Amino acid sequence: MVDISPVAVPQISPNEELATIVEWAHAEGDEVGKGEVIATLETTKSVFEVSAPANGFLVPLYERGAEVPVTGTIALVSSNPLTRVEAEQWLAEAAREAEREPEESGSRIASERNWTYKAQIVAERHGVDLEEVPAGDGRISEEDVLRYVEQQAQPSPADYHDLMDDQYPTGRSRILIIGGGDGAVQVVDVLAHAHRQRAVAIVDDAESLQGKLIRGVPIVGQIDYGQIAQMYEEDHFDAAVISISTLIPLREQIFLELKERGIPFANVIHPSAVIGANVTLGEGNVIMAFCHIGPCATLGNNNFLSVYCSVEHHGTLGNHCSFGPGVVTSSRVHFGDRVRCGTGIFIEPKVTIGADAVIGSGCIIRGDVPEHALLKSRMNYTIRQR
Amino acid sequence: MKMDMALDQLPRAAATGTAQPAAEDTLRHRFYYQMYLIRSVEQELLDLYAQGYIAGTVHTSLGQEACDVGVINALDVPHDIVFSNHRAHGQFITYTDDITGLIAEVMGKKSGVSHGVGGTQHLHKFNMYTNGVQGGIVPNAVGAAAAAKLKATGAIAVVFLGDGTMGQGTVYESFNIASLWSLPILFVLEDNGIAQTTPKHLVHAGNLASRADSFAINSQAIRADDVLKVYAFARAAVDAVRKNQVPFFLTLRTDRLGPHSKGDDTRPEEEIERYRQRDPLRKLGQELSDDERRAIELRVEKHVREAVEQAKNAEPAGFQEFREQWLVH
Amino acid sequence: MAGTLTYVESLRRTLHQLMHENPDVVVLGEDLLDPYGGAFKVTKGLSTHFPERVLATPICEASIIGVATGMALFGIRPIAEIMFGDFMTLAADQLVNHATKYRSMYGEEVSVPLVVRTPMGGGRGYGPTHSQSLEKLFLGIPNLTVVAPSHFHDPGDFLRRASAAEAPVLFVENKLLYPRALRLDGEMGSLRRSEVSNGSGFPSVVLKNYEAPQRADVAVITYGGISRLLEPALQWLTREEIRVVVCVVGALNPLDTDHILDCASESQRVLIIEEGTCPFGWGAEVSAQIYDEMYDTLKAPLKRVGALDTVIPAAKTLEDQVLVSEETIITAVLELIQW
Repeated sequence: MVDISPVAVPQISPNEELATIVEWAHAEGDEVGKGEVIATLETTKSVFEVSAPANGFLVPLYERGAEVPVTGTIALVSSNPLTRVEAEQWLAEAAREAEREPEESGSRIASERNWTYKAQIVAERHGVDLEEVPAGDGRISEEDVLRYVEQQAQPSPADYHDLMDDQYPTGRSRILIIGGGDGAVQVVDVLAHAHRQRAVAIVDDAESLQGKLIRGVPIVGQIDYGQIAQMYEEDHFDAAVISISTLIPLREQIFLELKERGIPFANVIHPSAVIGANVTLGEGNVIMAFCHIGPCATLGNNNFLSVYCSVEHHGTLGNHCSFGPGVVTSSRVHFGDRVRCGTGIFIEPKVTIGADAVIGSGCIIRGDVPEHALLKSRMNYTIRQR
Repeated sequence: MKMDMALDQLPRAAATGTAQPAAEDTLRHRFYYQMYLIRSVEQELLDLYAQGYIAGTVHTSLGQEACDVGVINALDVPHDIVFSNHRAHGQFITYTDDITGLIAEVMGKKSGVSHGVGGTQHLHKFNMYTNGVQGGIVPNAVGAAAAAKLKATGAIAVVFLGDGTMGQGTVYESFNIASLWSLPILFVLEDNGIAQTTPKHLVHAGNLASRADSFAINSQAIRADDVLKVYAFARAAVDAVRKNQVPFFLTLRTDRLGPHSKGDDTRPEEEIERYRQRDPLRKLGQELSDDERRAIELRVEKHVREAVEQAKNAEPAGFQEFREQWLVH
Repeated sequence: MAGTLTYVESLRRTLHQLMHENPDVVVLGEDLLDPYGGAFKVTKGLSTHFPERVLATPICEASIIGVATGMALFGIRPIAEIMFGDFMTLAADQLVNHATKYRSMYGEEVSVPLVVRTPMGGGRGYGPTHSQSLEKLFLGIPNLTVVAPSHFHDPGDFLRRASAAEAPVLFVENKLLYPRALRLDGEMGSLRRSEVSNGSGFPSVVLKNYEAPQRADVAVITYGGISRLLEPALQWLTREEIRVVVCVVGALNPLDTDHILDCASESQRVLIIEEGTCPFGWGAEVSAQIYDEMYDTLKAPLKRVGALDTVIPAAKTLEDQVLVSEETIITAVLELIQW
C-alpha cells in the first residue's frame, strides 16, 4: 500500500489567489521527513515556507518560478518512490473522486423538470397541460407550448355523420355546441334544464375527444367552419352556441366565421337567471345559473356570463365578452367588446369599461377603464403557512 | 522643541528685531485702523442682527482683534493660505480689507463674498477659507501646505483653532502629518478660555499650549493683549515655517468680550468687565495721541457706514442664479 | 486585449498612467508603499515609480480625506485610498461638510478635484466591520458623485474620468471584483453587452440574454460587485427561456434614470439588486424613480433584493446566506415572472 500525501499552498491572505514557487529545498525523489521544509513560496504580501506533511519521497509538480493557485497542490510526498507518470495517475484519480462529489458551481436551483420555466408559465396562462405538449428537441420550450396552443385552435376534418344524433324536430331547437372543454359541460347542463332547447352535438379540435359523449351529447368532429356549415345545410341543428369562455379571440373568430356562413346562434340561458323587463339580447349569449340582467339592459352577441353575474339596469354589454363567476355591476355600467373579467368583481355605477380590457379577479372598479387596460388586484391574502 | 520661552518676557522692540520707533509708529497706526475696523464692523453686525437685517447667527471677534491683526499682518497676503473657523470676521477683514463683501455676505446679498450661500461662517476670498465645523479645516490646511510644498509656491498655510476645537481628533491627526511630512503650516490656537458657554477647564485635561510638543512641533504661547507683541511672535513663527518648511504651533491667550454668537453669554458681568480692562484695542488706543486716534476712528466709522449702506441697498441673493448653478448636477 | 485585463490591473495601470501624465496627481492612503503596495494591491509598484507623490499616511481616515481636500483646493489632483469602505464613516465629515461644500458655498471658481477610492463588499470572511457596502450612507449628498464600476465596465476608464472631474468623486470598488477578468466584449455566450452613454462620463452597461424583436420578461437594475453573480444567474435563466435585460449602472449618484427607465419599461417587471442592505438604500431611490414614471404600467410590484438586514458574519456558512447570491437573484426573477 502506497501512502500519498498532497502538499498544498496555504492561504496567507484572503486577497491572494496566486503564489510563486521561489525555490525547491529538495530535488525530485529526495526522501523528506515530516515537517521538513520542502519549498519556499512568495505572494505579493509575503515569502513563506511549505513543509512536508508526512515522511516520504518528494514529487514536485511545478518548476521553480511557476505561479500556483492558493490551496492548490504543488507536490506529492509518497511512502514509496513515485515516477512522474504514477504521480499524474494519482492526481487524475483524485480529480475524478472530487468530481463525483456534488458540484457547487452554478446555481443550486435544480433544472430537473422536463420543460423550461418559461414553458411552464406560458402553459399555465393558456390553460395547457404540459404533459400533453409534444416536446421538440430536448426539454419542452415556450415555442413548443405556443405551437401546441395554435394547433389546438386549428380545425381538422372528421366525419360527423356516424356520430350525429339524427333526431327529428320536437319543437325544441337543436343546439350545436362549439368547444368541448369545461365550458361544454356547463352549456350541456344548462340546456338539460331548458324547455325550448336541447343539445344535439359538440365539435372540438382535440383528437382524444372525438367520439366521446358529454352527458349523452356526442362529440362529432372538429371546429371546421365548412363542415359546420354543411351540417347546418343538412339540417342537423337549428342554432349554434360557443362554450369556449376565456379564449376571447378564438370565441370571436368562430362567431364571425360562422355568422358569415349564415349559421344562426342561440342564446342559452339557465332557467334560474332573472331577465328584467325591456332587456335587449343579441344572439349567441350564454347566461349561467343565478345571473341577473336588470331592466332596460342591453347585451350584444356572443357574451359568456358565468354563474352569479349581474348586469344592473340600463347597463350595456358589447360583443364577445367573457365573465367569470360573480361579476356584479351597479346601474348603467357599459362594457365595450371583448372585455374579459375574472371572478368576484364589483363595478360602481356609470363606469365605462373600454374594449379589450382585462380585469383581474377581486377588483373593485370605481372609475372608467381605458381600452386594452389590464387591471389586477394586488391583494394577497396569504399571511403565512400554518 | 520650544522656542526660547524667555521671548515672552522680552520687550516688544527686541522681539520685533530691527523695528525702529518710527516704523513701530507706522505699525501702530495701521494696526489701530485694522483693529478698530474689526471692532466697528462686529458692533455694526450685532446692531444689524438686532434690527432683523441678518438671519442665522454671527460669531464676533470682539476682544480678539490683536490675534487677528497680529497674525495676518505677519503673512504674505494674499499669497499665503489661511483656513479659519466660525469666528473669522477679524481675520477675514485683515486679510481681504473687504468689509463690504463681508457685510453683504452676512446679510445674504448677491454681492457677498460667498454669493449669499456661505453666510457668516463660510467665507472665501483670495486664499482664505472659513468653515464652521470644528476641527475639519485643520487637515484641509495641512493639505494646502502639502500642495504649496509639492508645487514649491513658497506659500505657507495658517489655520486658526479655538480652545474648544482642541477636543477634536483631527487636530492631532493633523499635527502628526504636518510634522511627519515637514509641512509649512502655522497652527494658531486662539485660546479665549471658553467654548460657546463651556469653560476650558471643564472639557480639557492638561495644558493646551504644549499639545503639539509630543509631535515634535515647535511651539510658543503668549498672551495676546498687545498687538505688536503678537505681530512680533507671529512674524518669527511665520519666518521659521517658511524658511525651514516645518510646522509651528502658536498659542495666543485672549479674551472673548462678546457672547459666543447672540444672547448666549452665561458669564458674570464682573468677569467680562475684567476682560474689558485689558482690551487690546483700548491698550493700543492709549498709545496713540487723541488726535491720531480720533482721526483713524472717524475714517473707519465713515468707511463702515458706507459699507453698511451699500450692503443694505445691494440686491438679495437670487434663487434663479443659485438654481442654475447648483441644482443641475 | 482589454478582455484579459483584470479589474485590479485596469485600476493599477490607470494610476500609473495618470501619475505619469500629470505631475499634479498625488496618491495617498494607508499601507500603499511597495513592496506591500496597498491592502488590495491596487497601488502596487506605484511608490517605486513615483516616490515623491505616493504618500503613506498614518491611520487617520478623516485626515486622509481632509488633507487630500486641502491639496485639491490648491492645484493638486489627489487620489486617496481608504483601505476598507467600512472606514469611510470616519471620513464622513470631511466629505459631507468640507470637500463637497467648498465649491458650492464659496462659488464656482473653487474646485475640489478629489477622488476617494475604497473597496466595499463582503465575501472574504472579514466579518461585520470589514465587509459592508456602505455606499448608501454617501448617496444624496449634493455635489458628491458616487461611482461603482462593475467588471462589465472598465474601472480604469472610470478612474481617469473621476480624476479629471472638478468636484469630489467617491469611487467604490469591490473586493471580489479585483481578481476578475473584465468582461467588455459585445457578445459573451448568450449575453449581449452594450454601453449606454448618459453624458456623465460614467456610462451604464446593458446586458441582454435575447435579441430583438424579443422583449425582456424581467428587467434587473443593479451596480458594482453584484456583476460577479450576473453571468451565472443569466446563464441559468437563459436555459429556462427567461429573457432578462440588466442595467448595470456605473454611477450611483447621479442616477442614470433614462436608461433605468428604458430597461424597466421594456418588461414592466423590475428587480433592483444592491450589495448592501435594502432599507433606505439605493434601491429604494431607484424604486421611487421608476414608480414616478411607471406607476400605471407596471405589471408587478417593484422588487428589491439586497443583503439581509443584519451584520455580515465572518463564518462562511453564515456570510453566504446573508449576502446576495446567484440563487436569491434567480428566485426573485422567477417570483416576478409569475405576475
